[in-house]
Amino acid sequence: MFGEYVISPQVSIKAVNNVSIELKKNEVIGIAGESGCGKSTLIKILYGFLQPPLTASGKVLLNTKGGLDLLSVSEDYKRENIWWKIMSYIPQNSMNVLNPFMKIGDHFVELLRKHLKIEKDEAYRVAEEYVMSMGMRKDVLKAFPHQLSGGMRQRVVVSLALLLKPSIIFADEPTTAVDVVLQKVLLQLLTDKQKELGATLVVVTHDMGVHAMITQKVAVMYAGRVVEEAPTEPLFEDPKHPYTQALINSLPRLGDDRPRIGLSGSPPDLRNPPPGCEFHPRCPYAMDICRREKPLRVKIDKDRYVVCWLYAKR
Amino acid sequence: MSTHLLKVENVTKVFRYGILGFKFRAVDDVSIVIEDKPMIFTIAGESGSGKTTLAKLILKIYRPEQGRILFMGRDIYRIDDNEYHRCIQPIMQDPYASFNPMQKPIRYLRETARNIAGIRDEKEVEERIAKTLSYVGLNYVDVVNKYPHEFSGGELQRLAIARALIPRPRLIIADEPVSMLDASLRINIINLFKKIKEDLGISFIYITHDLATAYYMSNKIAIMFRGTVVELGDARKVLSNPLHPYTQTLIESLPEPSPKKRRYWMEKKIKFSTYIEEEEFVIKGCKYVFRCPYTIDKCKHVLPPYIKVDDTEVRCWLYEKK
Ligand SMILES: Nc1ncnc2c1ncn2[C@@H]1O[C@H](COP(=O)(O)OP(=O)(O)OP(=O)(O)O)[C@@H](O)[C@H]1O
Ligand SMILES: Nc1ncnc2c1ncn2[C@@H]1O[C@H](COP(=O)(O)OP(=O)(O)OP(=O)(O)O)[C@@H](O)[C@H]1O
Ligand SMILES: [Mg+2]
Ligand SMILES: [Mg+2]
Repeated sequence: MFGEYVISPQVSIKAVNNVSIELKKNEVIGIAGESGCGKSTLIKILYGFLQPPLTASGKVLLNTKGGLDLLSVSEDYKRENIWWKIMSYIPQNSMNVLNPFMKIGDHFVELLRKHLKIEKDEAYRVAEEYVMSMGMRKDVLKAFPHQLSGGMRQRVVVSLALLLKPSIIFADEPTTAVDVVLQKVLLQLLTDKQKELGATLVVVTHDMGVHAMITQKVAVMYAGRVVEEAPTEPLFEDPKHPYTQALINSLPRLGDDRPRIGLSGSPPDLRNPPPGCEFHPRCPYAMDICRREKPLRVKIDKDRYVVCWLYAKR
Repeated sequence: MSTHLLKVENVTKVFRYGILGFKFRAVDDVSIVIEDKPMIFTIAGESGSGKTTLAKLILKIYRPEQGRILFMGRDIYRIDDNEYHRCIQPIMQDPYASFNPMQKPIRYLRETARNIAGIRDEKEVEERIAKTLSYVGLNYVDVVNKYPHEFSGGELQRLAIARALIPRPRLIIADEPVSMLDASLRINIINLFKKIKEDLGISFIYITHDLATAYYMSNKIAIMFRGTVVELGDARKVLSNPLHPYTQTLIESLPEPSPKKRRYWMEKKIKFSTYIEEEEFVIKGCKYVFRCPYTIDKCKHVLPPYIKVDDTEVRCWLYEKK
């Protein structure tokens, strides 16, 4: 897949660059990487949510729909048949996605009526039962979004995304705006429901701690590319890409005060990325070839891939 | 002379909840002491616990309703503003908000050197700036002609640190200085704070909700909850052997970058109580009662005093000496 923000005929930002990714059933997949590396853009493409200036090329194939390519169907089709039902999406900063003029209950009722074709009263009853099963009091349905605390709103957004039992859930930084205690509550809720539904959960976060606690597999992005992909445990134990190494080794941990060192420099401007490997200006192992040519994806082990010249077989 | 650099004594700050709402104590009877030796003092706690308000009280942005704050033994309201700000400097959370987008940051550095550090000679101003910039890892010639949007977040935060260092203060108050930075850049800033403390003997009040960086760099820690300090002591001790039930939950919730700890983290469930935020603000007793698993009747009525357990002070009736 490729994703590009076309700002003008001269300026465009390649925010997702030649990414291939496979989502399996009943799996939690993490997308990691620093701000601006293309995580949210990747999720939008996977969800088929393309709004100008974002344009995408490549394919997003849905197995449940007999190999349907999400990038080639209309938005109306996705609205009717895919979104909320088969795939759901918790966007970044989702605290603000609730309509401020609609009561919480109406958000639920609208979705239930549209997709289950039921009457309003019945939909309301279903909603009441559902919010209680998500650990909230049913009177939250009567509140407007601004009357709820940030944590409560986030819980509502998560609940809405799970309402129609989708088989794929995309969660973009679902807990960045909440404190650690509430973060744990929300992440446990998400993963419990994911297991219950046997669904795929794709979690985007730059918090490596969250990846370590809930994901089975992680894709690490840098400057629009997935530079490493691995099952979570080996990724943390033995990171391969120099960027992943720096990311993991620089993290302070409770109970460990050994000095840690970070990376120098900062991520490239995607309007004007460096030639060769995008990471070479910050890489401690950069070689000549890294400055000239793009590295290829190398398979290192079962389900482990890295895009780095250090591992290229020559 | 005083052996304390900064002493906050029973300080309380009252705000209104929402517009025209009831009054509540955003900072409630807080006492902390920063000794007169280079150290990093962390203030940690959830969102809304009063960390920034406490910082603003110390910076003389807000005036406390009760209690007093002493700097080197003198009430801060008896110290001339200029003199005080030469000694205490802030670094804020959002590096982009620290600088006016229409002005070159160098201008702000020059103003600080002239007005706060009180340097008269223009050559000396430039020298101090160049020296400080190179100390924080920036290059004078790369900085002079640029506007804020031409810097990355990490570079701007270094500029903010340089600006704070120019007056050669005794204490820097850093309010979530790395929370807006990427993980790979955070540790560099944290290491810079440690270096400043060690080389220049400047102390820090480091405000954060990131307990891992707190463990990594701080000497002392105060855990805040709804305006009160619930636990106070040596940072390593508090974080490895937390006493207050709130500190315990905080540490158990922390996702750690070690998949081996996953089982434990997943199995330890946290009850989501649909507590009423407003009640927590106004209750007379301990503010944690609505969420605490150990609540007894007394907790609801009387706020526990600071109770000393080893060298840690904890405000919880569980530790009352019988
Ligand atoms: N609507 C847009 N118009 C133009 N450029 C955009 C737009 N949205 C994102 N970009 C750019 O695309 C790149 C990737 O952005 P994206 O939001 O996918 O990053 P991210 O990894 O999700 O970052 P963060 O961690 O900050 O959320 C960035 O350089 C960003 O500036
Ligand atoms: N100027 C103000 N007027 C009224 N209420 C305020 C004001 N400033 C802060 N508050 C309230 O006081 C409480 C403490 O706020 P404060 O900003 O000190 O928290 P904090 O611990 O810094 O939180 P965060 O981690 O979100 O920065 C909050 O409930 C906040 O809404
Ligand atoms: Mg994003
Ligand atoms: Mg604050």
